[in-house]
Amino acid sequence: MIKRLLLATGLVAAVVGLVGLVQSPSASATNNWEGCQPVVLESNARQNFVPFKKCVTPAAPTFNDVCGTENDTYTIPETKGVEYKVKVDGQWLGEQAAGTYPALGEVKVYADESAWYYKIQGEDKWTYEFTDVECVAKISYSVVCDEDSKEAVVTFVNSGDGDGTAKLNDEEIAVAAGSSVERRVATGDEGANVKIELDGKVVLDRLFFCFQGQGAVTGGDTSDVESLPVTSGSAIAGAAAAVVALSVAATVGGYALQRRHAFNA
Amino acid sequence: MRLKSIKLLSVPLALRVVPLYVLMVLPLWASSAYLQRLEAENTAKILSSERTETVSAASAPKLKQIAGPPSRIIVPRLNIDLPVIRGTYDRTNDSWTLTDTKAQFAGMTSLPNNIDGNTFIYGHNTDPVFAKLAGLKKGDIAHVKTYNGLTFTYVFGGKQFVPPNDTSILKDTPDTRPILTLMTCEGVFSESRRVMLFDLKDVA
Repeated sequence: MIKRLLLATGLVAAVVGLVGLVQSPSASATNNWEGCQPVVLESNARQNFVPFKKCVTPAAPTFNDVCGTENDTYTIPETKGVEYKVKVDGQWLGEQAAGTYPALGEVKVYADESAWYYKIQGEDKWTYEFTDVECVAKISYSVVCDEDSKEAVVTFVNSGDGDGTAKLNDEEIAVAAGSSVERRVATGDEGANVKIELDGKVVLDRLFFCFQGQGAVTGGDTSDVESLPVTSGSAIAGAAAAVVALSVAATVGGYALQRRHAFNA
Repeated sequence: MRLKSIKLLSVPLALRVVPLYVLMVLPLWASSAYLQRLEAENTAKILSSERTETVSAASAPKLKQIAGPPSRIIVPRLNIDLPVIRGTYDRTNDSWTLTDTKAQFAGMTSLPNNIDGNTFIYGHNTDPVFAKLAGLKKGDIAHVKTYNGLTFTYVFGGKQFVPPNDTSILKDTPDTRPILTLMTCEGVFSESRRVMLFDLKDVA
């Protein structure tokens, strides 16, 4: 019995050993220190000693190239096992920690292993040439009525990347990039003129009323109107009315004829 | 004679009514449409000649603009004197503000003013509202009073008939002299709209 037990245990050990051999890396890969570590099998103790490097894929840095040069930046990401070295306009800045830095000209970022047992795979070098594009303001306007105060509310919105100015009734108004500015013009009962200039051109010059549901004196957009007001019954309704009237007349006439026929009979 | 009457009465009511309707209503309808077309053609000729004049008015020196939201419309010769409310268009169901006793000013068109634009006022083709406008004659006067105490006086120039989807009559007339457009329906048997055009005479 003990013999059989020992035999079975030996067989199991042999099978486990064979499986271990099959799962372990091949002989040629074992000596390759430049290779990447395969999937770690926790149950296999031999894996811990396989002399492979840990592969890491560096996250790419980002370059924020806005108008002008003052606000240009690049951002170094954080990747475990990777250190980033930076060269700006040909000058080495060395290793840079994760964060955002001001940029100028050509920026080159290199990714290196932070320890001998890491191996970088994928892209490890990035270059970006920062531009010096002029900042441009993009100002739009809207005029709506505040009926309670009888005021025309003029709003300027700058969706561009540069600061700009607009003119409202000859007053110059600064509108910073990405911001909006509101001004009010009292219209009273007599109305008030709203004159807007953008880029040196008059884009609106109209009298506004802000009571009784009105706005600009000059008419607005009517392109979304599909049909005119229905100021009487439609043709179908008219025809239906005529049919009903004739039906009533025919019924009354028929009834009269019936009565006459009955009387004659 | 007696047999004939009995036979006639035995015919179903619908079969008696429909031919009667066809005989009576359709000729009436057709003649009405024909007359409208003739009238529209004539009016178009009149209006096109008047438009030529209005273009030259654009070169006139620019005046100070005076305007106001309409509160009342008066056509003295036809005894029309109606309050005017602001009418709006609801694009979700393609409908307009409409009342039985008042005229409506289409809020997206120009306010009565002394410079330019098209002031569009509409109302039902009923006796209490705009039915009497059918009797307009060239040269008739219409007054539009405004909430800020102004009175705009217009002179009737001509009329036209347009289909219900001809929204071009709402459009503004930039850089031309201001006009007043009154609109009502043509009648029970027609979907056409009667459009009456007035030119500004003066403002007081």
